[in-house]
Amino acid sequence: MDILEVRTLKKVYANRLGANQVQALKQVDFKVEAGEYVAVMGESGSGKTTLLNILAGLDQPTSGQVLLEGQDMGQIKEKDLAAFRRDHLGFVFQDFNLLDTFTLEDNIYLPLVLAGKSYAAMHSRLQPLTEQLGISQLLNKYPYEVSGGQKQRAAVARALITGPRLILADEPTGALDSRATDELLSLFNQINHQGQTILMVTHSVKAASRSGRVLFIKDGVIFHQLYRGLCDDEQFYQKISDSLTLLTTGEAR
Amino acid sequence: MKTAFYPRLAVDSMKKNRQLYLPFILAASGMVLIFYILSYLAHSAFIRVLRGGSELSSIMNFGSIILAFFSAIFLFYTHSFLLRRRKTEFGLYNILGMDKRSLARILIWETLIMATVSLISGSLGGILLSKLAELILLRLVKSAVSFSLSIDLPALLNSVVVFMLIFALILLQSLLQIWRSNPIELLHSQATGEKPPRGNWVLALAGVLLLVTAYSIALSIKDPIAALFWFFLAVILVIAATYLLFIAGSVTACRQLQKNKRFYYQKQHFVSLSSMAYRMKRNGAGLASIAILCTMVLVMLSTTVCLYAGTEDILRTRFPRELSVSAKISQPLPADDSYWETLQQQLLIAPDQTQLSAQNLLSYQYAYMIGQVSGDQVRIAEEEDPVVPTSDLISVIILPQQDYNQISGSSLDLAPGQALLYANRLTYAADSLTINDAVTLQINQRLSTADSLAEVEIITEAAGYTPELVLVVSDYASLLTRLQQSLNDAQQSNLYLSWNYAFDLKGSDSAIAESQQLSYWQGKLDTLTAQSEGRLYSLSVNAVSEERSYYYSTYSGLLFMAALLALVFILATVLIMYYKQLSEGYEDQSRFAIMQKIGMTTQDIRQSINSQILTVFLLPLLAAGLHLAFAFPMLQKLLLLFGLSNHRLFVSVALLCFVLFTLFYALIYRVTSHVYYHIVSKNTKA
Repeated sequence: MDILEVRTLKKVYANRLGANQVQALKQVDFKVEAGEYVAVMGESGSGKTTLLNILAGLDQPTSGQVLLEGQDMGQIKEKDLAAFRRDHLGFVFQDFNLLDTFTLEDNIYLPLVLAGKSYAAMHSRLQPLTEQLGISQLLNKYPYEVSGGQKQRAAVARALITGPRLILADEPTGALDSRATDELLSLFNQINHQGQTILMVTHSVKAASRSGRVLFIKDGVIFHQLYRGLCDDEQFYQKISDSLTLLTTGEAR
Repeated sequence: MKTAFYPRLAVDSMKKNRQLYLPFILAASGMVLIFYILSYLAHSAFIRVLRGGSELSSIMNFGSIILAFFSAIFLFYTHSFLLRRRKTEFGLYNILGMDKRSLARILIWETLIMATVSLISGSLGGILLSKLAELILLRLVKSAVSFSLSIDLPALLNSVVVFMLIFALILLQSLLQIWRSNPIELLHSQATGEKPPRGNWVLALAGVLLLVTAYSIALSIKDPIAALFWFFLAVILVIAATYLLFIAGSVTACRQLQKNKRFYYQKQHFVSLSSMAYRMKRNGAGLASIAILCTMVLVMLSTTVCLYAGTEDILRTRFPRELSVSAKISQPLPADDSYWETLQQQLLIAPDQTQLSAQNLLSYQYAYMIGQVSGDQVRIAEEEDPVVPTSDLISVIILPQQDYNQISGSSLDLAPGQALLYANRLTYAADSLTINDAVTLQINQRLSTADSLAEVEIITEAAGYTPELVLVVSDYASLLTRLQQSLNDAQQSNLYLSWNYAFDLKGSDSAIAESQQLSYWQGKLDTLTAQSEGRLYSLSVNAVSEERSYYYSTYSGLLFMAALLALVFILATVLIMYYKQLSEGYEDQSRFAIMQKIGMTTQDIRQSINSQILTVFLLPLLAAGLHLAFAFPMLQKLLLLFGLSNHRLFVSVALLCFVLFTLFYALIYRVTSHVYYHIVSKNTKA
């Protein structure tokens, strides 16, 4: 079953007078099946972030459709969109986006509180999650008191606590050191094995090599895609690396 | 070329930061403007020649001194806020290779520009508006006005010097700040991680305690002049308590509410409550200042408006008749009333020798003596008696029954040897009273209040601190004779008679207009005093028409000064609020962007912002209202001291002031919160 389907997505940015148009996305088509772990790779300016913003409902496409579990996101009314995102999507950002006025615990609760859940219900969801993520001891700390890796794990907990259909991760390892990166990637694999669908936008070959499928995006189109197949991480890393070299130097397809 | 570099840099950076600098310069100009007007009025020739003009001048002078101090503190404080916001910029300059000397030059130019602009615009505005201010003041005083625009050089010089000093102080502070910091610190000064606010129970409790103490002092003060010390203590305690409660109390309250999980984890409380704690930690001091400024505005305006509006009332209580004459006469005392009748007739001869006719007469006499009391015995004091300390002295006043009945409208009927007693500032329990071993009176009745004696000025005779016994007797004449016979030589001067005569003039003669002139009456009294060969030692006259202009110039001066100071305080409130919204806007910008990403709707965000803003908006106003309510009894007593007993007037004026102020405050808040919304919503889309 497809969780996400993107059909002929196009996004054109125009400056105020409309004289100077920039095509961020020319034509993007792809599908993500339930339980998949997909990485989207591309250079700066290739349209990755635009794509992610549209998937997240933070930006509107010029044309084309985004279907989440068969529902067209373009048809959802503006006022319901926030609630829809909150209930169906989980977000992990490069710079964590934790609120410094909340403890980690309260940060994790935030989407549930916004959804109007009772404290008891929230608390019962919190416990297994924080144990899996290894942050049970840190719940009363404030974001500025913990390390980057710990912050990102809290952010993952916040993304997971609503039980979303899809996790959207935007360069989740971008601000982490190598150890924290390894830990986070293992964590992603772990939750993916439990059936969680993940879409991750990344620069890092290492991060991409842990996914199940890699989409390469260049100049606003899906240029290439790679399936892991039976490769182990290292082999997959090599394949991705080769593809990237081709992507940046030649026109091979 | 090179010399113009720093001025240009200064101008550029001020333009770039006009959101910060423009309000500051406007506020500074406003203060210069008002300062100029106050010192202009203090010097104004028009005002000097008014009746009561010197009082007006000194009120204006006093106002300008207060304003100078307030401006210094306030501009200093707000400028430090400006500087904090610009530290990053200075850090960048520093890293790009500009040394501290150059930074200092930029700062000097900036201060120079700010000072010049505010001084020029402020004094220009002041010169233009000073005439208007004068017209308003003269209208308030109910005096004729003239039209001519003038520039008052001393006032101008005054304003320039005072505000140059203030700006010099500001410059000094900025230079010190730059000198002490290092570039990296400057660059990151705005990004330092903030510790979560901790509720401080001790400070919060101290705040509550101080407030309760202050309020109970305010409520328990009986005589505000005697308890002036307590009055000021209460004011200081209230100020301290306001700061403590806004800074520590509010955070503690937020923290406590957060502990209540069922309450806290609700959509409408969750975000608001946690950001409120931070907001109050950062802005508690600013809000407390706003609350105190609001209180001051309200107190000043309501009392002075009330005094001004109640001037006629005050005049009527102070001077029930148009003219009142009071004569004091010492030994030898006149034998009978014919002496007074002659005096009265002489008084009523108009300048053209026709007889004026008095109506609405109030005439009474009394005997006044100074003595000491022991048991039921009173001994008239001997002149310069070395044994008796003055603190043991009391006044004894004896009033004829018929005069008392006339004044109070009662029908007292005492037998000879009986007396009605009113003991003021002492307790007298004995049933009889013997004076100088010569006169013994049985206390037949007692008064517990002096209400029925209100029209008699004898209560004020003892200057407000000497204990006094007021006795009303039926056989006044014979009693006086016996008393007089018992006096020894040294006691003579401590017994005298007072004759009081108050009346309105009747008829339409031109003589009346002239006769109301105090100088005419004064001249007449001088003649009469000379004729009495030293027996009349004090003869004084009060004409209401004369008093009226004194009262009006004093009260309208107070009102005017209060209105100008209120304007300045409101200006300060606006500026504090504006900067508060500005800094909060920048701080909340990123926070709300995150919330939107996580799935908070724009509506949710707006709701949360609104509830926080509303709380922050209402808190200082509520505090000001509460302070005013508790200060009310005390203020009422203070007004009573000025002779204003119309409580209903005060209540309605205070309420009106509060309502008007609330409307105005709401307006300010609307305007400034736009700034906040603008900043916050700038980044929420993305």
